Amino acid sequence: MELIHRMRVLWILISLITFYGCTSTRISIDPVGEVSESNKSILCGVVIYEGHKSEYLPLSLRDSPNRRNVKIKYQYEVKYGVEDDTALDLFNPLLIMGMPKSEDNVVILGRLEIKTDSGFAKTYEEVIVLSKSKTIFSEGETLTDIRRKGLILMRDKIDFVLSQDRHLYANHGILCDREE
Amino acid sequence: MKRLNLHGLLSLVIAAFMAILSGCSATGPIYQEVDSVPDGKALVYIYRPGKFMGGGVVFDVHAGNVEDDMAIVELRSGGYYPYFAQPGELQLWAKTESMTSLTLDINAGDRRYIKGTVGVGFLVGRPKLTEVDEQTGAREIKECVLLTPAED
Repeated sequence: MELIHRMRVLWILISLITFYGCTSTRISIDPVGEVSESNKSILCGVVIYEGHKSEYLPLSLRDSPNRRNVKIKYQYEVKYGVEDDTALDLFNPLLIMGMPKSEDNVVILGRLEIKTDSGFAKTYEEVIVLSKSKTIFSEGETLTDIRRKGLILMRDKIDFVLSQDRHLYANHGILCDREE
Repeated sequence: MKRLNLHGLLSLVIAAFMAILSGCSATGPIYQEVDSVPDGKALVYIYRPGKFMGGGVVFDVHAGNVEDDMAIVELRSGGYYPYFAQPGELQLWAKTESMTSLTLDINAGDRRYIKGTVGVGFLVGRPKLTEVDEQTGAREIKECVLLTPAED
């Protein structure tokens, strides 16, 4: 009897440890490095951006009416994936232990095109996947919060890849002058 | 005799349960596609396929932030509502014991489909909102009936 009681307690403890923190949001993205001051690239041109908030626009892009020969187009797309709970979840005792019941995903697609009248063209395409699992006790972050987090990560990611190609843009005269 | 009474009681409970649940389903005119959208606006269909699981849970769908929001529709199982949205970021949310919220980038002339479902909760079913593609939305919404707008 004593052994059975101990086994029950052990099972509960193992379950709690296993499922603890299951509602955290996981982010799938290549590591984004720090953009140092010396490596920072600010590109000047006509910036075409159809997003509704400027905070999601990469900080390395500057709209410059004097640079009509350079066209910079940034766009993003957000896709939601929400798993439905099943009727079986109603009878799953492990849910009471905190086992995840389903997963939500937010996929952010970012695309940056840089073109000049002289024929230079470069395109960047990046994808970030953010996933969260939910338990019966917590739904975790909302899709609105995850979307915002993802769009800011995408902005930083684009800034990072632009900083890696700094010399390319310097050679084509796309970097901003000090006065711009 | 005792057994018969038990059966009778069970039947009564089931009948009462079904009657309560049927009162939670949406009633109204069957789905009809919106053919004209006001200039400069987008059409956002908010719908909830009829399902037994969570069918008794009813929740309001709101537009805007929690602080500055507007209730659009009381979303019942098997119902839909066409919402004309202004271009810009549109946050849609709903809440029972937990909150669900998603944000859309709306452009004039868009036609979007937001699907509501109910998931397992601790005390009560939890609302879920997600965006589905036009093909899925157009197919699933045909089974729904028109709901009336929420009263603020």
